[in-house]
Amino acid sequence: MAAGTLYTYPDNFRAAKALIAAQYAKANVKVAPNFVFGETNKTPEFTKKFPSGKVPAFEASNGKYLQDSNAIAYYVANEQLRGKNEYDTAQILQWIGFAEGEILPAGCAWVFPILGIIKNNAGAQEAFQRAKDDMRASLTILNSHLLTRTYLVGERITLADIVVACNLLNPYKYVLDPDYRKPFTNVNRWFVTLVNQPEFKAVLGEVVLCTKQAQAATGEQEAENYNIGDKDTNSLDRNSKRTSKAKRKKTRNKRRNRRNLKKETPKKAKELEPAEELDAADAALAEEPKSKDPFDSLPKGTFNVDDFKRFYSNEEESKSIPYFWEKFDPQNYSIWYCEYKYPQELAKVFMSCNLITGMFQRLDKMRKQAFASVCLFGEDNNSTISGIWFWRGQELAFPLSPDWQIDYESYDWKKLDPTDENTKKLVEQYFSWTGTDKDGRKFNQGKIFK
Amino acid sequence: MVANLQYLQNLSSYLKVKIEKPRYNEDSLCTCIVNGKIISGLSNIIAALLTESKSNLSGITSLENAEIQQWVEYGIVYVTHIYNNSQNLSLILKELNGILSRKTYLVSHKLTIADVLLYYILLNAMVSLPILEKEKYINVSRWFDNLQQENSLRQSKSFINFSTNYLISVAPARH
Repeated sequence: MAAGTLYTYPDNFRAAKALIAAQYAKANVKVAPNFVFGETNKTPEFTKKFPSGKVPAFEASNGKYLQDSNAIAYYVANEQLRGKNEYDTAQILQWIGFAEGEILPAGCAWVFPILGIIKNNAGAQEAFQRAKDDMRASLTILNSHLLTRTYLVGERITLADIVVACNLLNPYKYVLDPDYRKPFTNVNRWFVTLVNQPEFKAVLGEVVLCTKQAQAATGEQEAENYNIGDKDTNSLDRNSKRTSKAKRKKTRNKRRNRRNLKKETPKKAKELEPAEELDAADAALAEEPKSKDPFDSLPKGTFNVDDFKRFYSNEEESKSIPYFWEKFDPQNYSIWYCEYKYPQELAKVFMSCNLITGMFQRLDKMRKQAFASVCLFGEDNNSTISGIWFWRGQELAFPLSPDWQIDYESYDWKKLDPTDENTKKLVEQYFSWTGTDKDGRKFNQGKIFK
Repeated sequence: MVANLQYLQNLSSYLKVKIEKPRYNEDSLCTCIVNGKIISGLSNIIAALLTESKSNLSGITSLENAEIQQWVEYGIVYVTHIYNNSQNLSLILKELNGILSRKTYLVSHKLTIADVLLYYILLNAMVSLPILEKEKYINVSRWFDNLQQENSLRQSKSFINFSTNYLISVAPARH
């Protein structure tokens, strides 16, 4: 039985294939902890094992390496999933080909602009319409196949079901609204049956089918009109009157969705091969302007952030903190204290740490002109997150770029006066990773944004 | 009525739980001994078999178990009468066909005793169902075909042919 480690970012529908297959085969497949998309998979160690740097990637415990979600799923599967005879296996391959060649391109062209993974543009309507038509054609084929069959191959769940269902996951969640999917009774029945199997649920959680078709936001309003988050909120509002909670959920959903899409962006951009079905996506990608450093609009000042970071990394805090105060330019830079708004939701320490590092990662482009030390205090199920930041400018930096607005609303921000003694104390505490939070919880872990 | 004892035998061997002295008592109720206890009434016996078998054919939530109970009663009260006249059969098949168009299994998303019982009750009817009727009740056919793949469920009986060359896929009806 295959055992090993899977490298992926969270909620990756491709990785889900391998994880579900492993659930069925009871294979011991672990997701690599601390995997940071865009960092871990760019390291020489990673690309040595997996030359493309793509995820999911699988490192078997016997030292074998595999790339491509379908290949990994096949490897960690069992006999039932792989097909009980050559013909069944061949049919499974046929459906995997269908999932990758027919369903996925249409699904991506439709869903990605909505998720913001690729930008929506003026010419997109035509592309959307074509994606919808292509999807309809694929679903029609599936629907007539599933009229007389419960599962795709051999009347029992196989890799074919896992792969096709995972490729349909995002469409079913975001765009296949009740009207659109109505004619595809058999596909709907099959899909709902699958995502409710314990092995699927263990990986995917509760899958809620789309109730209202999400629309792609146009141009600059993208950040404002985040339809998916909004849609979830509406249903939450209906279901529960706890609007404040719903509102919070909204920002969280928004955050989560945006987080996913940000993580997927580089990967998807790379993966979109110049297939004909995807020319709309390519066009959208090509039109995306080269991003500039949002800090460029602010005066540079005298403070060399890079220099401080180097000093901080190489020297003891007893030297680097005085160095900071010596070099810091209060005219053009500001110091901020942040505190996570929902400490009661923090459970496991490692998850909270992922929350911090995830935020850092999403703020990648901010690194040049900012620095932070964010600390976790307390232990599992009783912890808080707070930190000290500084960046160029006197205002909250996050509104400068739409890319930076995913996490910051989950934190309370307080600007600190650089001349105040208390500020000095806080800076010292956070830069040297010591002390407690305001309720006396002990320092547990710190993360540096540099 | 004698058929009910047959369904009991089927279930008993599928669940691998022995029943002793299956018979009809003076009130014409199905009666037998399960694990030393005398139990009367088909649905009571099924419940006892299920408990004894430690199979995972029950529901998970109490709602699911209530639904299962409902289907078992439906099976005993209505479906067993399909052999009395042909009209009953088409009524039942029509009803099931509608329900199974949206569901893979009768209750929840897994095989339960409800599916198994209805399989055994419907078995003889399905054997003699003409191909055109199988096609008419396509959702029942698909469900039945999926169930019969399990050898322990089918027992020694041969597969019922649900040819995949349905007319509907050759010449789809246009509505």
